[in-house]
Amino acid sequence: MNIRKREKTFSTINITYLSVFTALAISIGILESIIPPPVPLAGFKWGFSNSILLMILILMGEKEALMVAILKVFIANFLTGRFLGPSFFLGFGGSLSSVYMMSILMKSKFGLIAVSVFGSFVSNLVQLFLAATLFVGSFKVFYLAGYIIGIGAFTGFLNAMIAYGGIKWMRRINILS
Amino acid sequence: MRHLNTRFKEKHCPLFKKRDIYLYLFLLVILITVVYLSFASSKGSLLLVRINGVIRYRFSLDEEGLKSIESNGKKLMDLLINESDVRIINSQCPLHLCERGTLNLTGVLVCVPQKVIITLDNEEAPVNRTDGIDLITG
Repeated sequence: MNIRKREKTFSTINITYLSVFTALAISIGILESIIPPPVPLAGFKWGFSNSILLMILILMGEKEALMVAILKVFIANFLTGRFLGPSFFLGFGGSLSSVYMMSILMKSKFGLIAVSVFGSFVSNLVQLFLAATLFVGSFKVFYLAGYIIGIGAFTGFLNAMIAYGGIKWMRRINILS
Repeated sequence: MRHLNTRFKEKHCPLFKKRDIYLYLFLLVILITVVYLSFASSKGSLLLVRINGVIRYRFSLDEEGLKSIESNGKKLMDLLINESDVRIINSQCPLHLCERGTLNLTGVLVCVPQKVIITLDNEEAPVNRTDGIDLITG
């Protein structure tokens, strides 16, 4: 990365926005750890903080979204006392895979809802795979995949609407040029 | 007022695009396949309890009542078998999320923190109850 590009990425205004987005993602992550998850499986959450990652992907880029995803998983799990527990590892794998998939689909010029729904789908599959390999030791945990994919599609749709609405709102109040 | 240096242009990121249909179709096919496979394979009259990937207990669905699940001499949970349905109760895990599902509802019961998975099967696989201990001496 040349110096000019680095300055552009880590300019004061970008760091400020990244901090706000990170705080939002962490807050949603903590709220999600309080409300019951959609499936009776520790480590799985609704995944509404993905809407913030989607907004960052749209507004800033993949690198920034990855950075926020990592910070969100570390800080939210640390604050809720689940650091290095199943929730941490599943969240880490799920968030990173989701950002990668959404970034690839966004570059391939898919619509926002499809990007978000598929991001949730990949995140859920990776989480199931991690649960099967790291914790349970059986791929029979994939029996839950139908439920999880269905719920992931629903939350993916909602995340896309939240991200779209959020960006529209930011434009309306003149935060974005 | 300074603005966020953004690459975002709304016309490049609409909610829907024509090509999305392929992604949705792919997802639908996967969803139908997964649901079919999980319904087809989660049938049987035997209840298999795997701890850390190893089958430790096998119960018949006809043996109604409370079954204690232990590992290394430590109680992990109780299984309540009632009217061909099974649920976890008194789990020692921190969040007790595994107590929320029933086998008829989800096809599988999982306790991630305690590494326990409970499935229905017809398999007559050997049960390993030794916990890796060959001999307990006084």
